[in-house]
Amino acid sequence: MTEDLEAPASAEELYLARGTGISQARPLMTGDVVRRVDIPGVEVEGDAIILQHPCSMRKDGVNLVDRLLAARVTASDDVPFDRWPTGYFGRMPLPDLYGEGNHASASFDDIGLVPASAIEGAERIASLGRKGINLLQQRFVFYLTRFAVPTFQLDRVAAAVFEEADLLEEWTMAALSRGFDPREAAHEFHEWIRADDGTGEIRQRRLAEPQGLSAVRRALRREVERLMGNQSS
Amino acid sequence: MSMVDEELRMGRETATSTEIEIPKTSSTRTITSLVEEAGVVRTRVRILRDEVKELHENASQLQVRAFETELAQATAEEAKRGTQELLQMLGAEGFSWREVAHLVSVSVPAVHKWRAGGGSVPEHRRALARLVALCRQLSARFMIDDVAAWLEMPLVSGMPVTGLDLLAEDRIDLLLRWAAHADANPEDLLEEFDPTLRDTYTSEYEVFTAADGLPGIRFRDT
Repeated sequence: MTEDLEAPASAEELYLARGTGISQARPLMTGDVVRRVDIPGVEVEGDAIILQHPCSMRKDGVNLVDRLLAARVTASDDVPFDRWPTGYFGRMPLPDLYGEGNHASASFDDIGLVPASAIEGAERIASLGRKGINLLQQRFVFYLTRFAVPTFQLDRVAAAVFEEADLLEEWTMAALSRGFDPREAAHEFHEWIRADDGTGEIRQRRLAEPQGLSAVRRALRREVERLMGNQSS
Repeated sequence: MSMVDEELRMGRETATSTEIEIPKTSSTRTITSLVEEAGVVRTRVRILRDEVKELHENASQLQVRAFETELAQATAEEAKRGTQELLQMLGAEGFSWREVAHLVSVSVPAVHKWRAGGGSVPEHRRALARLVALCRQLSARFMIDDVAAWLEMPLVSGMPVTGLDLLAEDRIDLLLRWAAHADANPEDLLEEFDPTLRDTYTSEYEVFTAADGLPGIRFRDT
């Protein structure tokens, strides 16, 4: 059993995207880093990373909750991967966040609730990938409770939400490329994912089981073609 | 140990089951000759067992080599398609772009760029073609109905190690054995893949559905 905090094998394993690689179609998610956002009660200036759990970010599946828990991100020294399990427990290292060799850290001492509108309006400069989000949560939980939850268990809890975020991104990406309104596309997606798939099962529930994922993805791609095809608005 | 047993033991490295003759029986058999005969039979069984094991291993290796040869040919054929078309085919199979990126060793944004028509280097195009070819072969050879779902299935219940993980480490041999169900116990495959994984993924916690309908983590009951 894993008893220590874990570490990524590389910076690449940590991030989904950084800088220009970030898709505007990607819904805001735990582990997204946004530029220059005020965190109420935090005096240190800098960027912010979303700490809010993926399952509690949205009140109706589409719209963000009013305020999101975030931590301050500032430039810092590099934390070698082999030191992640044994120290620096008050922070989440973010290697190469600002470019190769330009490292940062999120401080768990500098956290607060940020209005969702402020985060939505800010520039997103990085998104952690699934592994990165699980590591962020593991370190934050350990900081708060001294309890090291294995990341594979954390992943199981949020797996369906991660999958849904991927599908929403794909749907919105298709909408954007054809000139459709992304917000309208997000609403259409949520109607579709919460609908019966024709077998009496809600599509969203299928995302919780690995065996149902490929069928939902295939159905989504067919639906995107049917709805949007080669049309443009 | 009987004399025959000892002789067989000495010449074990070269002896095969067919070279060992069971002593002819006479009408006046003694206890000693019966014990000796039983010893020969036991030895012959042991050697036979070794031969069967070796044959099985050889057959498995040959099967993997044949599959990989066919896969290489099919990959060359599929690589004639463009990157965008290959990705469309993988999308139609039901793969996530995250998995495709991982298997091809690129970032997810890179895959999205290719989907939008961006160019890829030959190495990546070949990797995509190999994945398409593999799906077709697994489906045709092993009658796997939904290859993407099959590859996402955990090898062992409760362990987050899937066929995709085998594929990412290029363990086609283990993937084939799993597909052919030649191993009665998938835990052996997991052990062969990485003997540390069982320990890594053994946990006294479990994921459960909380009262609000969302998943949570708690101590395992047992």
